[in-house]
Formats: sequence, structure tokens, C-alpha cells
Amino acid sequence: MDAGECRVELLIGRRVADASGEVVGRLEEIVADYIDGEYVVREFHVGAYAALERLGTGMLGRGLLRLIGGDRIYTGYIVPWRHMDLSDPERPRVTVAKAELPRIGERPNDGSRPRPAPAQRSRPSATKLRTGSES
Amino acid sequence: MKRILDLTLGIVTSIGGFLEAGSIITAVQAGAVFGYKLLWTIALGTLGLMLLVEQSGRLAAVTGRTVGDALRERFGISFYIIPLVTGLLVSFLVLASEIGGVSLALQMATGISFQWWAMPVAFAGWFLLWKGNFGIVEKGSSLLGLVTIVFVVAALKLHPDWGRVSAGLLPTAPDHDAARYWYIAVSIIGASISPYLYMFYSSGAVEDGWGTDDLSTNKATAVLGMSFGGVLSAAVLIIAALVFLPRGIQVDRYEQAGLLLPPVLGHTGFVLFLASLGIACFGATTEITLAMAYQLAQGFGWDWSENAKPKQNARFSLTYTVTILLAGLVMAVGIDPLELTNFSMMLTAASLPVTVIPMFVLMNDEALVGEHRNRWFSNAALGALSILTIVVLLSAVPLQLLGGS
Amino acid sequence: MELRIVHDLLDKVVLDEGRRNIGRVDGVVLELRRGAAPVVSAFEIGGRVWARRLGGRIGRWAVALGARWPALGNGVTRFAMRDVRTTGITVSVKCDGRPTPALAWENWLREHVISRIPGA
Repeated sequence: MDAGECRVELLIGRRVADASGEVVGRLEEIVADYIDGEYVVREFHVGAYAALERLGTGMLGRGLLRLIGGDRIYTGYIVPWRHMDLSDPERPRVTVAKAELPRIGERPNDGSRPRPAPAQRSRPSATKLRTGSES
Repeated sequence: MKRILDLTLGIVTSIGGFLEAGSIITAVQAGAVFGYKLLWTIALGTLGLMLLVEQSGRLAAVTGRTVGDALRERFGISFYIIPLVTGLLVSFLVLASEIGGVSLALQMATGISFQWWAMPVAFAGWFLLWKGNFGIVEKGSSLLGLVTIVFVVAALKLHPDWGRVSAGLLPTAPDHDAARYWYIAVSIIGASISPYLYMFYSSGAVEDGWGTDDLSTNKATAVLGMSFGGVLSAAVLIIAALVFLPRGIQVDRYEQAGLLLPPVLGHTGFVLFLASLGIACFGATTEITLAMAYQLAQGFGWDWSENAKPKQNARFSLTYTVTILLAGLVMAVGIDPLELTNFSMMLTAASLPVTVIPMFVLMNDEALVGEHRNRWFSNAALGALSILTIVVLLSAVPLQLLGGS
Repeated sequence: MELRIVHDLLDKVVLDEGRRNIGRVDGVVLELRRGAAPVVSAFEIGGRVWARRLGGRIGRWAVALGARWPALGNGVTRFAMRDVRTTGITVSVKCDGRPTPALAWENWLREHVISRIPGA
């Protein structure tokens, strides 16, 4: 991986290919761990929708697909940071073969990690947002 | 005890705030041309609205996020720009037609052309938003809006054949003028399920600080409030069916709508009609303006609060100021209010998929709403509604061309 | 502690230390390092930043518009991630948002327009 900067918001949704050029899917999520005051990237989540892969319908489309099809339609791969090549941000590449990547769902609590049921305490802070600022 | 009070207030404000230019005009036109035959669309639209209001309220209560917040946060700016732009555009036209409604009520009361009333009305609305807080804006106009109950009174006084009225609740095909029939049907859907309504509702829920213990109040308000509101629209349709249809009066001007109540309630009826039209449209004016400002502010993370002083939310206050005054201008230059009302209702109906379909994803996102996500029943209903909105979208252009006046 | 950039950071509302809304996270910067894991170094707020995300012709048009009239946007404000905490609902930064470009328009409008109108 070369040094430099990379814009996440432009990376998300891009098609990711593996070492042999085969399409893995679209980049959906980047997961980082907070280590020693820094957010260090651990892995990338690439979602694959088989035949529907070509439709770049964005998060809404994927959300709908996931809803309708559940786990049967939605599959995804976990790409550890060392296997992701971002030297060309418009064409992110995985440096190994697709088959070697662990799939999302093989580990528990992947994909959408359910947040603990939103408790009352999250609301007061939301109200604080709304009742304006002390100028 | 407090819960019952809240609930009652919620229902009452829903009733008082239900009618506006679009729902009145479409119901009048429906009754005048097709009798009771289009009652089912009012029922359908009301059910759809009930669903969306309950869900947007639940979203706000559980997550503290409004629909606007959630749409951007879950789907990103590249998606959000779509409901934002379409929502603002459509709402702006509806807003202008509401100002038109108030202005026409004043024209009918004073004889002075609605064009002269447009800017004063816009200014009055602005003043209420500027100086008032959310509670006053929402509850004030809604409580005054209870005057619209006069429509129910008038409908009852006319002793309709309830058998035939109920028959109208079943979807039937028209026996004449099919294009116009479906045009009005779609317009009624647009009048009932305006996106600004449920987006405003969720913003209100956050302004009022709703939490998970408000969920049952939310559900009851949505179901009862919207049902009773729907009854108001139905009442307008019934009166039009009994007053206009036999006389062959087709309503293509607001002034003709003014003939709705006098046959039943005499001169008092006329005054009450004007009061109902004026107050209902004025309430909608402030609500839509706020809803538009909320959409913009929430989408870009500005401070937004009707409860705060304008100085504390400069961009938000500027947005609603510019919006309401521009909309007033549209009426001031003389755009025909009735035509704009019809057109904006059609446009609203066509734009529904863009906000309804994402609700599907939002309300099933376990990470977002947790255990409060949709049960199968809500999903089935929402799914059916989503399909309806797509059908409506596809039929909008042909209908506008074939069935529009 | 885990951070999911899309889920917890991107497009979320940003609050400063005074609990004011500064804006939303429009962009996130990844610092790539040779031979080491990339680091989420900063996030940005700015019209130019989200306009680029619109994609296609509309995105290019929005960016060109912003370039033509720089005053339209706020300028880009960058916040280093070390000063950032995310709750999954909102993002908090440990500084005063008021002097930043993100609130430039808010401040300008408050001083020059809104405050001039009585009753503000």
C-alpha cells in the first residue's frame, strides 16, 4: 500500500476486483479499531449481490434487497486491510483471490451489528440537539 | 392521566389540522362529479397516511432522529439529495396553493382580489413562525381548525343515504369520464399522503422530546387522529355529492366551492366555510413552510428548532422566511389557485415513492429501531402502499395529460 | 472499540463542545501508510466535499458551481479524528465550532441578516 490520502466517501460503493480481475462486489463498509489514540483500519466489507451486482443502486437498493431476500441474496466478503490495494482509489483491488476471503456472516455479529435497543438515555441528548444552542 | 390528556390533544390537533386546500378541493370535485364513488380513495389515502405517520412517529420516538435525519444517515447524501430536491419542489407548489386558499377565502369575504392578499398572508404566516414556538404553531392553528367540524355537521344534516355512502367505500370503476375519475383519485391520494405531513410529524415528535414511552400515544394519535381527519374529507365529499352533483355544478373555481354549505346551513354556512378554508389553509401554510425548512436543515446538519429564537438557528430561520415569502409571490403574480392546487396534488402523488419506499428499509433496520421495528402487518401494509405509490407515479403523466382540466 | 465509518461516522450530525450542530460529516479521510494499516485520520465538512459524492453529471455540475462561486459553500473544515468521539448517532468534536468555516454562513447570516429583523 502506498502512502498518501484516500477519500472514503468516494471509495464507498465502488466495485472491488480481486487479484485475477474477478469482481468481488461493492465496497460497503470500513471497520477500524481505536488503538493508542488512532482509528486503525482493520478490514473492509465488500457486499456481493451475484446477478444484481451490476446495479449500482446505492445503499437504498442494497437495503431493499437485503430486506426482501435476507441472507440468501445478501452475501459479502471481509477484506483484511493488508489485502486491500487502494493505490487507484477508483479501482480498489483485493490482492488475493476472491475465494480466499472470509465471508460476512461466517463470523457472528457481522454485517449489521444490532445496536442495543435504543434506551431512553439517547433521547435527552437528541432533545438537547434540538433546543438550539446558547449563542 | 397526563397520557390521556396528551392523547386527546394529539387527536384533536390531528383533526383540526387535517384539512387543507388540496383535500378540500379534491373532495369537492370528487363529490360534484362522481357522487360517492370516490370515497374509497379518501379511505385509502387516509389509511396510507395513518401508516406513515405512525411509523415516522415511532422512528422519532425510538431513535431521536427525524425522517430527514434518518434518510441522510442511512442512505448517504447521494441518495438524500433526491427526496430533498423533489420534496422541496413539490412542497413549494403545495405551499403556494395553500396561501392561495387563504387568499381566496379572504377574497370571498371581502371582495378584494386574492392577489392582494397573498403577501399579507405569507407575511402573517412568517410572523407566526418568527415569534411563535412549535407548540403555538402546531396547536394554535389546529385548535382553530376544529371549525372544520362544520363539514361533518352539514353532512349529517343532509341525511345522506348511508347505504349508498358505504357503497362508495368499495373501489368501483367509473361509468363515465374515466380519465377524470382516475385523475381525481390520484389527486386525492396526493392530498391525503403529502410527504410534508409525516416528515413534519417526526420533526414535531423530536421537538416535543418523545421517547419510547410515548409509543402508544403515537399509535393512538396516528390511528384515531387520521381516521377522524379522514372523516372530515369524506364529509366534504358527501356534501358536494348532495349539493353539487344534482345541480350539475362542476367546480372549476374556488368561488363555486363557496356554494357548498349555504344550501345546508344558510349564510352561517358560508361564513363557516370561509373560516374553515382560511384557517385550514393557513395552518397548512405554516406547517409546510416549517417542514421544508426542517428537511433542508436536517439534511445538512444545521441547528433547527422552532422552539429556539430565530437568531440561534440563522440558516433555518432564513430558509423558512425566504420560502414562505417566495410562495406568497407565486400567488401574488396571479397563478390560478385552483389549477395550482390540482396540479400540486398530482405532483405530490407522483413523488411518493421517493419517501415511502425508504421508510420500508428504515423501519426494518434492527440497528436503527431495534425491537421496535415493523411487525409483519406494518410491513405488508407498507409494502402494499409502496406498490401503490409506484403505480401512481407511472400513471401520473398520462393522467395529467388526459384528465387534467 | 470499533468504528464503522459508513455506519457510525459518514453523514452523521457533528456536535461541538457546546453541543451545537456544526453540520454533517460530508467526507472522511483515510491516511494510507506503507506497510501498515491505514488510519482514519480526519473527517471533513464542506459543500465541495459532499457535492463530489453526488456522482455523474450532477456531481460534476455541483462541483463546478462551487468552484465558480466559492462563497456559496462554507469552505472545507477538517477535524482530526483524535479529537472525535462517535456515538453511532452523532459525532462530537472537542472544540468550539463557531469560528470554523462550517459555521461561517450561520454566523454571517445571524449577524448581518437575522439579527436585523426585530424579534429575532
